[in-house]
Amino acid sequence: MMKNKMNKKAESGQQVMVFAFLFLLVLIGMGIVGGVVVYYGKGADFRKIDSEILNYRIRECLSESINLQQFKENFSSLCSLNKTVLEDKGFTIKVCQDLSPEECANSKESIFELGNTHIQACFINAAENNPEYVKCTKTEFFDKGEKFSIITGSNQRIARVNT
Amino acid sequence: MKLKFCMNRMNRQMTIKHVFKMNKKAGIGDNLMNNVVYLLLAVIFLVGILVFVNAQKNNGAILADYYAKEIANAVNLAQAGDEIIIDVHKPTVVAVKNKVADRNEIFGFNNNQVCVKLSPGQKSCYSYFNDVTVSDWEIKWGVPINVLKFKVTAKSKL
Repeated sequence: MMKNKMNKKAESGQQVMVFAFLFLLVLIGMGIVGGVVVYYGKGADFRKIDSEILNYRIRECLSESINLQQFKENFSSLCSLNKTVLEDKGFTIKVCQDLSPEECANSKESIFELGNTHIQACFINAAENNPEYVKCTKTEFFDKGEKFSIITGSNQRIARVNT
Repeated sequence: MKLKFCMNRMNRQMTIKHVFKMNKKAGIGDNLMNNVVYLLLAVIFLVGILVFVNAQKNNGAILADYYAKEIANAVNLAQAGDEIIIDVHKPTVVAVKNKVADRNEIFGFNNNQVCVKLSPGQKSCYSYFNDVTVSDWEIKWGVPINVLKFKVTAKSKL
């Protein structure tokens, strides 16, 4: 009689442990599901790559152009860049001469400037990890004995269209 | 009298031993059952998680976003006269699975924008700033994988 009672107590103890196990599984599951949703939900961010490609293309174009006047006047056709897309999709460009990228961002004088985003946002350290801020690329290079700074930024978002 | 008492005692001891053995056997069975139940629960949980992660990975909207951006980048780096071939096996398989009616609608280029449609009723579009025209795009099915082929031409030539 006594033994039976003890056995029953042990059995009920083991049954109670199933709930603890299930609770643990639910906890782990919630962690994994949360992680996956956060990881895949954001989608791949290509803005940094966009700004790097744009910067590279402007650099190539600037070194190939005969003079700065030609670069300023025929920027779009010379560099084969679509101005409408650049203006409408949140791209930012600023090109300066004889200035560092940081000085270029704060200077009012520039060879070429395009976009409505405040280029100073490219120099905010906290903005690096903030997905709301523009993603930038800053380069400094020498061509024909002149120093140039190019700052490019992209804030283009994917457009999901219902069809 | 003494002998009878001894016999009784022996019998009792044997019975107790026998009961213990039976209990041990029953205990082994219980433990096994418990372990099997725990193991089953763990396997069901693991399978569920794997199915969920895989479904998220092959989610049409996420894949469409990714491929639209990837193709736009390829166009941004291209020069007029280039012919580009991109592996699009995964998105095309997802599009067919999601029953996208017109297979020619999976990829589309219009107004400096590339659109990818992997589920009916929704497409993801991303713009490329390279001022070129993308023409003659087609999906080549099973060569041995599905690839997207298109030509990049200068705008003024058209």
